[in-house]
Amino acid sequence: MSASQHLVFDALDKIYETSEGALSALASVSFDVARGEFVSIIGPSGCGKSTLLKITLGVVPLSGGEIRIDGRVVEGPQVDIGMVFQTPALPPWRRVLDNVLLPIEVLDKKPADYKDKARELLALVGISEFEGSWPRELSGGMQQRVAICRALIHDPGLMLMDEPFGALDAMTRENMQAELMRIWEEAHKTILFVTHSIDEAVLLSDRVIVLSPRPGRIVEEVTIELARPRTAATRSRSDFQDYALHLRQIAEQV
Amino acid sequence: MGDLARGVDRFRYRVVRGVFLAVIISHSRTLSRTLYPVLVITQVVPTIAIVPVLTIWLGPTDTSRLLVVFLIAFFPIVVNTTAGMLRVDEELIDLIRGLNASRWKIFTKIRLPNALPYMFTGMRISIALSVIGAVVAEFVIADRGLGYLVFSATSNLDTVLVFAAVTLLAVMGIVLFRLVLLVQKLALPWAAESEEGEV
Repeated sequence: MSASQHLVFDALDKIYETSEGALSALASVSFDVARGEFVSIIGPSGCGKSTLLKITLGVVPLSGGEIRIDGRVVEGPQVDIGMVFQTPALPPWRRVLDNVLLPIEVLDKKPADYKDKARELLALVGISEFEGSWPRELSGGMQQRVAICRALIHDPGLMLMDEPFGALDAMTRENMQAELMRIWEEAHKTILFVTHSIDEAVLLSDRVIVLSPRPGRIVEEVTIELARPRTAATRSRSDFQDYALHLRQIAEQV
Repeated sequence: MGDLARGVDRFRYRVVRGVFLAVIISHSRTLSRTLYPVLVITQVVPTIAIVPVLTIWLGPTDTSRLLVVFLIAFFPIVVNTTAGMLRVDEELIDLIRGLNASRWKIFTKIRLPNALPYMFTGMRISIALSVIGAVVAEFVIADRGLGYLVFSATSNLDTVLVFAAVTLLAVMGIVLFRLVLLVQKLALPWAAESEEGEV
């Protein structure tokens, strides 16, 4: 097993049974992700990007193929995964700190043992002073920061992010991208990141995978060899723009 | 005001029963298919028309008066609480399921707390309907109480007394309504202000 085979997607098929018959969402999707790699998946709406993440999380069953994490076939929910959705999905009845600790409670561990860790994470994303606030008292960007802390609290090896910045305004979005890169570099997580934004994918990723419209198939894999750390200035580099243009042309063809 | 205190006490039982029923309905499709039609029937049958029948069956007792109030006011709590248990952020459920959570855990950690504001909405409607239910019951099966007073004063063409009693009933309704609102504010400080519906 080589380093590039931390996470293996092997000929994934997903067919939904709907009232209008079988609907193919993913068709023989195969790729590997190395430990610590940042891989983005882009593609048009309805190409099965979100489905792919839910299958990886273990909450949506496969129709064919298999997923292996470190050689072990994934069956059912995977506890060693942190999930972030487009909406923060914070239960409004839990204060910020308790929201971060939610996975700990669900995993039947002692929240008291993880309070320091939760505070560290809140400090990492710069919202320490809000640990006692209700979610409704926070802005959308701050809520999403809480959701990222919650995904990291049980120290998962793999992070799944489904358009986590899609609902944020442009300024907040750029700040969050910078923060995510910082967290990723500090925490050494493997990240599978779904986005609509080609620029976002190029800026953040080691590799970008382009899916076709339904049923989702891989039409292209592009390795992004931009030097790190990447910053806002990276966007204005000519090689950044070459990557973005290349991906845009692929996206237009599919 | 002994009536009022007793009413509040009974209201509490009704809430407990309503929530219990909502738990059952939201948890099992079979039970919801069995119970929901019965519930709907209790709501669509014009209660005032069957009050005399209930009196014939159960006599002019406290039980029949309570049953009338129950029939009128129980429904909103069950329906709202059930909706609250089912109307949960799907992504949050996925996230919890991804952590290998049992159904019970999803229920206690997510569905039940999520239903609380809905339950209070049901209680606000229900408590207002309770006053109406009590009056309806007293029209037919009582020899005292404000409802009875309205009824007998109308028979005597004493409109002043009618309006006095009606005003008092309205004040009672408003007080009870605000009381539920107050309890909600204290019990659920996390719920958004806009959801509370000021009166």
